[in-house]
Amino acid sequence: DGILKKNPGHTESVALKALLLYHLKEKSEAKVYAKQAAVQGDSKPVTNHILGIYYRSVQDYQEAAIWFQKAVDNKIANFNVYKDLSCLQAQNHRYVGMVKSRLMTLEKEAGYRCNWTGLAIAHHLNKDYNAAVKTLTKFEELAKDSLSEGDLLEHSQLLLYKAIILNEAGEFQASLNALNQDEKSIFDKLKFDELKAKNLIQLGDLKAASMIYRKLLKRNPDNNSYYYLLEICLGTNVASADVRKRLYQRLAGFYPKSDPPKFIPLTFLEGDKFVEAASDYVLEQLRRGIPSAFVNVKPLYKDVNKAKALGSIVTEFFNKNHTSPTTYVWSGYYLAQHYLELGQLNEALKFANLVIEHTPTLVEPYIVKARVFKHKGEPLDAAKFMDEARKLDLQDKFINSKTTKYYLRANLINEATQTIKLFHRIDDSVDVIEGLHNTECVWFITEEAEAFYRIFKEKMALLKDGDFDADLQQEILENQGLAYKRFQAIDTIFGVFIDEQFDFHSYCPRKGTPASYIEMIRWADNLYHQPMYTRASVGICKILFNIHKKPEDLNPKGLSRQEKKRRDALSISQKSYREDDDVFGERAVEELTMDDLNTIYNRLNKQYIQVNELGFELYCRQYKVIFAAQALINLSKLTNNKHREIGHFLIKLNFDVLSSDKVPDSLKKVVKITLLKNFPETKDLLDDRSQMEAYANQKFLSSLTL
Amino acid sequence: MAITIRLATIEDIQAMQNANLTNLPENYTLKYYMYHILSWPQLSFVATTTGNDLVLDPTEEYSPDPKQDPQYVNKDEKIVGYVLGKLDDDPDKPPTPITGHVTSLAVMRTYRRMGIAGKLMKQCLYALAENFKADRVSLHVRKSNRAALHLYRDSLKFEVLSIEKSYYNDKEDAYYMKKDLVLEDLVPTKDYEYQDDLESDLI
Repeated sequence: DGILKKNPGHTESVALKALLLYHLKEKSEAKVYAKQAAVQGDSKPVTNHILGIYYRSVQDYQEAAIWFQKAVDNKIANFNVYKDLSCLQAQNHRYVGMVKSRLMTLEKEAGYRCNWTGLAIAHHLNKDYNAAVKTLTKFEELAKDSLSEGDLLEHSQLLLYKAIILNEAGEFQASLNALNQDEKSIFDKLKFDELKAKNLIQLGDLKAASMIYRKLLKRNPDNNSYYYLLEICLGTNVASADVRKRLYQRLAGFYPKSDPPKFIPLTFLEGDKFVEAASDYVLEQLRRGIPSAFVNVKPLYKDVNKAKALGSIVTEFFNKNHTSPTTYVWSGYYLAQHYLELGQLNEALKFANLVIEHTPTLVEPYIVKARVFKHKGEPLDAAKFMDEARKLDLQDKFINSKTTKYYLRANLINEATQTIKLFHRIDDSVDVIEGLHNTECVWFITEEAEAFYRIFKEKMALLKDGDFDADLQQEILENQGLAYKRFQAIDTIFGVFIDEQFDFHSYCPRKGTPASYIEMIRWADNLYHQPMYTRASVGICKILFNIHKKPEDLNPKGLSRQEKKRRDALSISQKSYREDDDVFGERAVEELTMDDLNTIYNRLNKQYIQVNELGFELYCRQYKVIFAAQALINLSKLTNNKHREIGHFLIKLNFDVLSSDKVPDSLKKVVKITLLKNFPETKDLLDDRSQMEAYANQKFLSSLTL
Repeated sequence: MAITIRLATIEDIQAMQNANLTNLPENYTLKYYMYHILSWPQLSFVATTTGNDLVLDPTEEYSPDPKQDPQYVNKDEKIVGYVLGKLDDDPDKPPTPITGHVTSLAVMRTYRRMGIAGKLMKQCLYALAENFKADRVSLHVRKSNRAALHLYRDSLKFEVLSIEKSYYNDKEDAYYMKKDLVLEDLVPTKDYEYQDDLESDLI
């Protein structure tokens, strides 16, 4: 401030002030000074640098990279800027630039291995495999005689990394040679053997690869994939069931405590041989009282005959073993799940109740009983029985979480919150909802969002035309807002996950874990494609779609006293972070726009059926007819033109949306031609709604009232 | 579903976090899982369900979207247990003996009694000795957790070093346990009766 008083144009100080204000939590004021410094100090390297640090602090990595780059362009003397810039480039996927900055760093400090590793990583991300391998090899040669005891672990990890890059580049022989040459120096024999076997398969040496999988089984006989890959190497994956059975008998002899060699044969055996093997497998588990006996064979239920056979095996066993409590209970529990899987809910309930009568203190049969009621469409009873199970084992968080989830499914948010609170031991000063946000409890936040949304829809249905019930209107807005707020929290948490990468750009080269680092980059690149993110995004979109249907005059005034009390209580219990001034998310919803939805939608994985359904709805609402048609075509391709919504969507696009004057005539033509090309069977129907409806009904079994 | 035990990757950490949140009172943000995987990528393992992919469903006309369930890492692959391992590399402590630490271990209630926890532990301990030449491994366990105590003390031969008063957030005491590691003794199938000689044909 002193300097600024004397010389208000001293931009370095302006920038520094912005940075300091930010760390003093004066965020909006900091922003003003940062803007001022940006205008005045464009060509000053120190100002550039400080602004880079400021934007990195506020986690605006794009803007930060721009300023660090300017600092470099303006020839800053501080060499660390290159290192910092390279981390920002990694975060922003600017791999060409990243190679340059890593190169500069290496030139300055060639004595540190991490700088070589950093450059190799940059080359690797830039898909220049050759340069990456060369960089790693160069350091190996330089350091050949000077590795100390303490360097050996890092050395081991980097040798393995080099072989991984070679394999990725398709240089299988070179990768294999590198592994063989450095076998003694690579400690990680698990990764070593897996990569070696992979190379051998890719080179066609199946016999040698099979030996490595056998070796790997000795260290981990519980890894399914080793068995599959061993079979591929031996060629038995296409052999007769008898041959395969013999193979697995031998393997089960070596590894009697492992599940895969016992389970896998059940997938290829048929008829009597299946019955024999399945009896051994499942009855042994029931005798030992293994709770997962049913879920362990559940994949086999896709085959109707196997499902039937398993049912008979266990029924017979159940009937014969009334005397032993363990077998009675666990085979009864099995049968309850068996009938639930087949959709025979009353039979399922009968067995669940038999087990409960026999051993009322056992948690598991209540779980299946609760699930039966869930499938009956009675979520309140489902939650009630889950809670009975919970009371039997108050120390177990698993059953507590299940009960919480069932309460949420029954829209009993208060009960759910009170239940999960019992295990909320993080810090007494933090409320439970806030704590769940702090620990990134994605499952709860998503379930609660969906519960709020269902309540919102329920209340909307109660609202009649011209209804001025203030309490009801208030609750509609409140639940809508809370639903949005929770879905949005999922979006925020995923954003945090992406930002969390940042520290590892500098950490991993130092720690010598580049292979895992590369996997992290790829993982983060696909985060928004994850199913849970899709689920939250669909939730957000549905809320905005519904706002359009909202009566314009929803403006609650004059709440009842009781309502005010309820709202006050909720505003405390549902606070998602400490200084939240929009607990109910009502303002956030008001600010939500179609553009926000477009941003979210563009991130999603278009390989999912649901995402294309969403895209279709989204684009129709905006009259973006080409995009809507594209979503419809994707939907058709992904489902072999069998999805039940296709007919309904075709009608909606062709007759409802295209008829709007918001769509230019030229576009109408393009869309019609596109539809004809992709749905040629509708050729004579696109001009006649009733014929089209008849066709769609018959072809897609779609209900037109949707 | 058949259970697989395999090395944990970064792709697994969200499901591991979810398993931790649903089963245990001690929870961590995702960054802590990232830190484990990116510092000691050899030390964490998961137990997953597999096998659905082996059975064709004749009624399925097209492949449905993956389940929107945080416990899944792939279609048909659900994480039912995990062990999160680390190396003690506190700069304030002497570098020897090299000590590993089990940060967290959980198995879903519905998958218990199958020996999953023990198998996860054995992979972790073997990897500690193999990769880091660790001399010993330590862990904390709740005093009231009899099943875990049985696993560590009786099956895996850990010994109680001390009792740490009010170690947990809810003030419960912890047993601080340790075990010395010898690589050759840790091979998970070492004592099995029939050994694959890695020479003779299997078929």
